Amino acid sequence: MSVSPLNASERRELVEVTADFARRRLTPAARTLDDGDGATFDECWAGVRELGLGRALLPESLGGAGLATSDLAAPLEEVARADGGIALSVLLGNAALLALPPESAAIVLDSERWAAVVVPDRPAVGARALRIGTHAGQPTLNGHIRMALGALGADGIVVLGNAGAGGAYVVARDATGCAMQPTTAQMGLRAARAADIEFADTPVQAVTPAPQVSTLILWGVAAIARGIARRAYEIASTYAETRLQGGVPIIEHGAVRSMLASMVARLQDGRVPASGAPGVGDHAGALAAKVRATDDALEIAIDAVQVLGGSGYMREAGVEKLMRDARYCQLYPEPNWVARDRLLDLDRP
Amino acid sequence: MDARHAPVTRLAEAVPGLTASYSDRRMRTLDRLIERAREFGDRYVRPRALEIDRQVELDPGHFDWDIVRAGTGYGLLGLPVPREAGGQGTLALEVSLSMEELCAACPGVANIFGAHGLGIAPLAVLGGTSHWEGVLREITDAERQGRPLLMAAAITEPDAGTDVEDPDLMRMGHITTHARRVRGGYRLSGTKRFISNGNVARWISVFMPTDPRRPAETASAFLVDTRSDGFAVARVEHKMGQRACPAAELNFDDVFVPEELLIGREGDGLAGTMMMLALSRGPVGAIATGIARGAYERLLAWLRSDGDADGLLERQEVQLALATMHEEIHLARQAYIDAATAFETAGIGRALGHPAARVAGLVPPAIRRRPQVRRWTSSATARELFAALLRHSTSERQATRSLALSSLAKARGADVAVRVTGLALEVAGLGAGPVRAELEKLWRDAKLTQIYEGTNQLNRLCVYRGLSLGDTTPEVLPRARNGRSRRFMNRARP
Repeated sequence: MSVSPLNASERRELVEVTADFARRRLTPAARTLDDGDGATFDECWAGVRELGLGRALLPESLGGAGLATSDLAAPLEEVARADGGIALSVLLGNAALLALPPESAAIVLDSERWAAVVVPDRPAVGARALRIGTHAGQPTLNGHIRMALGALGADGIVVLGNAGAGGAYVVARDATGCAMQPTTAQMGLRAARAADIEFADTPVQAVTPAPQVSTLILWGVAAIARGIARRAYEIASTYAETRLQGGVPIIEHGAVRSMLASMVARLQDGRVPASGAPGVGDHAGALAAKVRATDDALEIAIDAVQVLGGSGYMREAGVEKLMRDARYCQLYPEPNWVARDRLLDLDRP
Repeated sequence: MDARHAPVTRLAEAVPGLTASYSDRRMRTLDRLIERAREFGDRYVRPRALEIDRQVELDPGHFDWDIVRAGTGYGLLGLPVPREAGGQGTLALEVSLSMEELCAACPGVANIFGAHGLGIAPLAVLGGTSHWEGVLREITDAERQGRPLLMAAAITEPDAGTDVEDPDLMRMGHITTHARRVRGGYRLSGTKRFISNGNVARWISVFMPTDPRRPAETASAFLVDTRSDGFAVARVEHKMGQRACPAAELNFDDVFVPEELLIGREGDGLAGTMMMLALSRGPVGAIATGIARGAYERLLAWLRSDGDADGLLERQEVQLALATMHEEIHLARQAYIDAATAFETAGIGRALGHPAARVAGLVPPAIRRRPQVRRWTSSATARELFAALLRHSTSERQATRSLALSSLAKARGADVAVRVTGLALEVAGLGAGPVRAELEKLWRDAKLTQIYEGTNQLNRLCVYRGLSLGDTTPEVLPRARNGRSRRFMNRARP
């Protein structure tokens, strides 16, 4: 399923169209999406489908938009500026379809939403909770997955490891022995509604996903984090220009300036290269980008709340949501300390 | 191992330095206080913390009176009330230690009691004896009957948050509230914002200038009955965390406040705010320390007991993270105890132990309640005397230093709370099961400590002025006005 990356002008156009869609359709819905409102999600997802983002990475011959994985980062960033949860749903949907064999992907209906479910390898929590077996010659899953982001309400899931190696398992929505419950108290990325999944001898289809799937998820989370960070900076800097304390805009106060300046430096540092996200096999590069972008996004979002002071802590301003979403980016698909640990292993000779 | 069964650490073990300053008896008293707060937290607060958080997320107007009622059995509402008014008469240290315990259980619930104490603080630091037989007695009488009567303090305005907590900024700030002098009292107008307990308090200590063109010079403190005509709760905020304690926007539409409910003297509002912050920022450091400790204890208990965490505790990265958390919590606690001690021994707290104040406390309550005595205690002369007593018990330099140490404890503790809760969340990860929701809640709760009682940035500027430069902030004490009261206090000097 090889596709050629977009040229610069095509990529620019894609970003503009996505940004316009996000501004018109997603930004006004961000608060309701944060409530986990299913109807609002469906409306937004319909927009995502119209735009072709829901199956952006599928080749045109399979009914997709035929984008290269490296071209998805920029539109994801624009969607995340409006809502990180919707952006994650786009990412996980595309990752799931990309993990399916072409013949399976071809029969997924346009109206269906799939989700990749990443199970962290050790030493992260939950790694031992899932067991692969066989029953009557068919692979089965037993055990549980906690907080599978984006899985609730999905028409199918693809369970895969986070190390970029090994198999993946396709689970149909109505598979026997598979029970999904909404995860209670999901703090961030709430539009990507999470499920706690129990498997009891659940028959699954074993597949070998394309190698770029796990790398795509890491680059995608980095792009989402960057979108969140940009939005946090926009809100904080706008507020700092207009809010007066001591008779002057707070952007004139050194304490506030230093926070905003630090945000600018982080955003400049983490800019996605003009050629888009690097390619398929660069798992280490993707891990490093994810760690860096999500750490930066969290720092930026925390400081953005601080710039707004009491107003920032209240839901109305929309910036505390970014702080919660940024924290989830840092913890997904594995906490950053685990990601750093894996990065070291990849870097060793 | 459940976090509730973490080993009980005596104060002498947690803060060895305290044994050099305090007698064994005082240490035992403090240990008992901590145990009581911990018992309340374990029994009533921890089991319901997440549930209350979720309820308030759905309905910000929800308030759990049951848990406050349970707190009356532990004397939590009378803790900061002077003994002379039937309370426990504790100041910064006891309040701080209690807050750490309560916050390890739930910072939102703890903040209900913290905001109540903040409402009482102006009466303690500015009010002298004049409210002992008024609202303060009402609080303690109600508590003894198991009826919670809550207080709040209203300082922040929609256009003035940081401005109202700094003398220099306040002079240039955009203050829109106004207390207009009228026959027999004042008429209060304007809006106050982000007022903790604002919609559930029976009485509120409200700060407003009598001349909005000179807010710093004319800021004054008033005790407002929330049943007054013209008082209204405009809305209750939808907060990120500490949800059990509501934050409300309050409208004052020509609310009448009788002369006797002026707290301190007219124009003492800025000094009242500064003294109140010197008293309350240390406990905010304790709140933050408690939040960090709550996360640390929950994480450790989960790592030791949960099957899913199997193996994590063997990792050196996790061990180092736990050690770092312990270090941070230890140092944050030390900072708030330093602040509390400075407030009590060298700062404003000394005035409250002044012989003149103690003599007033010897007068039996029945006599203090007589109308002519109450008229005298709220008279201009009595207010002048108390202001003079404050000035004679401490100095502007000591009070500034006390404010700076409190600010240090607050800023440091708040950063520790955000860092430690975040670290705990990162160690546990999203797959950690029920403990994840508890850690997430504490992380959300922690962020507010960097914002309220002045942003951390403003607090650090206080540290710079008071400790780095060694400057004195004259506004931290009421101004001297009356020569006669000054001479009186000179004679009464201990």
